[in-house]
Amino acid sequence: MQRIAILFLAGAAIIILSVNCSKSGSKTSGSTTTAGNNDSILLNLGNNIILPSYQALATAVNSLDSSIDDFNTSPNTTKLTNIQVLFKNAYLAWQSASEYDYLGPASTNQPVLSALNVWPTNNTLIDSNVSVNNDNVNTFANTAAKGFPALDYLLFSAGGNTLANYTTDAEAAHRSSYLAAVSADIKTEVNAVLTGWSASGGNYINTFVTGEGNSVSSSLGLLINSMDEDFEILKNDRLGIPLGLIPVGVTSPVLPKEVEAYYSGISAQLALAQLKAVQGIFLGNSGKGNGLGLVTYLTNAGVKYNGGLLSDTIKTAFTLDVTDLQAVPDPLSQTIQSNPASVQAAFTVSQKLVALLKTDMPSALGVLITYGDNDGD
Amino acid sequence: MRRIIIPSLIFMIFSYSCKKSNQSTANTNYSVPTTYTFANVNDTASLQLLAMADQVMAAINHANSSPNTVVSTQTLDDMLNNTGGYFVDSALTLNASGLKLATCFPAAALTAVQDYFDSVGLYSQSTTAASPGVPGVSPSSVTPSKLYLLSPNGVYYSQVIKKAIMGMCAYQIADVYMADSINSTTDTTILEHYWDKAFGLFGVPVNFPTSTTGLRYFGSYSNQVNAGLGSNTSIMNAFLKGRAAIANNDLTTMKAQAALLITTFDSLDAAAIVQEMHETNTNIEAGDAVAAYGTLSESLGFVRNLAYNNSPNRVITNAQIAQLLALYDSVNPNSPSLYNFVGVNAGLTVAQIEAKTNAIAQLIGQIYGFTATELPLL
Repeated sequence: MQRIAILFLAGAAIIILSVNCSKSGSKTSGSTTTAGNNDSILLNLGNNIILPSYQALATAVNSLDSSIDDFNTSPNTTKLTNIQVLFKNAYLAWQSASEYDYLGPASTNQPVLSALNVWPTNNTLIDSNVSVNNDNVNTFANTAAKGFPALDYLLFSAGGNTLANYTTDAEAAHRSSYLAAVSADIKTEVNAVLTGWSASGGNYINTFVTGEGNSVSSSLGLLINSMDEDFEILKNDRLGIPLGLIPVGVTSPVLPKEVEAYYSGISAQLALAQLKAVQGIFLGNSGKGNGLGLVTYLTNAGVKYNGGLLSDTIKTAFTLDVTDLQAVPDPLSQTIQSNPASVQAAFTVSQKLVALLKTDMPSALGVLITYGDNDGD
Repeated sequence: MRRIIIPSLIFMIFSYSCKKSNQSTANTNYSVPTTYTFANVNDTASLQLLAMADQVMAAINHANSSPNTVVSTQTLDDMLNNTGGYFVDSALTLNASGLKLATCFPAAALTAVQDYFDSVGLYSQSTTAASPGVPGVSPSSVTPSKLYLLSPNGVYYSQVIKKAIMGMCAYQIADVYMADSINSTTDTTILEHYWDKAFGLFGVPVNFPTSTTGLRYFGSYSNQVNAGLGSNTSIMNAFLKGRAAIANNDLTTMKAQAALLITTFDSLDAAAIVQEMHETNTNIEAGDAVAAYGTLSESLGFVRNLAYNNSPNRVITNAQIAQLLALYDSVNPNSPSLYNFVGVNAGLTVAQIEAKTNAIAQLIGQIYGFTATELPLL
């Protein structure tokens, strides 16, 4: 480990020094650079992108949760429509926070935050939990019966009969209480992660912005690993598996029920939101970001790729992927059957982007990718 | 070429007059190549054995494709004994090679593998998905195209077998070649041959770790734990240094490298257990029980391997192995229920399950002295 660390630190020193000394590295609109050696890229990413993403997610799930409570006291169509909209907003907000699932509080809290979005749900399990009035959503056995996918099922699967499920149906009371339990769990966990990051709470934001270098435990190392692991979920789970393209080399049929948000039908929108969020980390410009991102490290290091700059290659790939995904209409579960070519185009560019983000970019920055697809070999 | 001839000439002259060991005429001014490309490398037999192992595994894994895809125990036994011509030959001729995987296992492991083959044969006849008490084929929930034939206890025997094969490789390398074999002769050619056979069982290309293409068995696992342990370079360097030493009659250096390899393979098997606990946690956190049974079964295979290592330098004691097995299932340590481990009927939380995987990783860490930077213990 020490040998590798020394080599990486030497490489990092060159990159970090060039960042701090170059003119573009010292522009700090939108954030403050404290005196000292704090990396202004980390400051932008942490203060202007990551923390606000968690704040937005918390706001969205808090709002959803209180509306669900209100709905449960006296369910009606207006309230149902309202919570369905708030659900979609919260799910979209999730897509801008999941990139950080594998570092900091999201990964160290119990349960881990990523368990809030395990799909597809086990509908049979949800139904049986409702039947026996088991609201204990945090057992391992209920991992596929909680979180956003469970809300998706509970709020949309019955289509026009959804309201009846909470009013006249024999299990209406149990279902209401299960709905409340799922939502309360989301709210608790999201807020716990936000508290972990906040300066007034666990202050992980400070750990993040001061975690310089490119070692495995540096903020750059952790962020790239987390973001890449999250981005692969786009390629594999949001697109690849539903298309029947994963695993590669095995002929599988298209699997419509494997899409995220199968019942609410917003799968393509969610995928696009996630893609743009990852792009935003790369460019450092989502939300209140000032443009200092991973691209800044690459541009300053002048890393080449096929005769041009690697940073340009990645920027272009992102733009292309966004364009392709924007051309994929919801519901994705239908599109993969009626127009799979459009989805495959997005999948193919996503694959190339994975290679750039998981191999070329980390290697250029001296970052080791430590999460693996070690599958029982 | 010329450099090798001169020391052997000296050896011949001196050995005529005094019957001392070769060490007094060792040439210590040799360079060690950076890839395993020496004159006379012959690891073909090992490559044939690994090819046989690959095909045995492929035969076993047919049973995963769907319930009631029957795999014949007799066929698996025959493949282990290389009878019946079941192998597919390529550039490596297998069926006529005269080699048998069966003879490479230590006795206790061979018995275990034969039992595992019986289980696979029996459970592959199940017509249903797996559930507690019922063998069958079930999918990973995260990657539904990945299918697993599970025992009534949720054990994925395919991987327990694969790890037993790896244990066989480690046993041959550490307990046979690096021990009795190289200590039984001073003949350069014979020593080189033993060394090459050992290297061939590692499962890496000659320019490892510059290249990590085609890693198999322990080669693959060294790569998985390499970040903290540096096992890729330490193992490869030991193989390279030892082989160069043999060619230059530097048997002292050869024995030093052998000693290193013996302890390294022991700790590599242990490190693999911790790696599997990491992967189990990832599977648990993703809600993927079936994949977790898979990685738990892999770890179980590695735990059982520890007992087959009969080197006096083995770190873990038999009592500690028993302690470790009890962490999987205190009631039935020799036949653990993985369903109980994840508390399928007991409503365990993720945190409670991870306390168990943690306990296994921590115990290994204590026994083998892994530090958190070498091998993050979850």
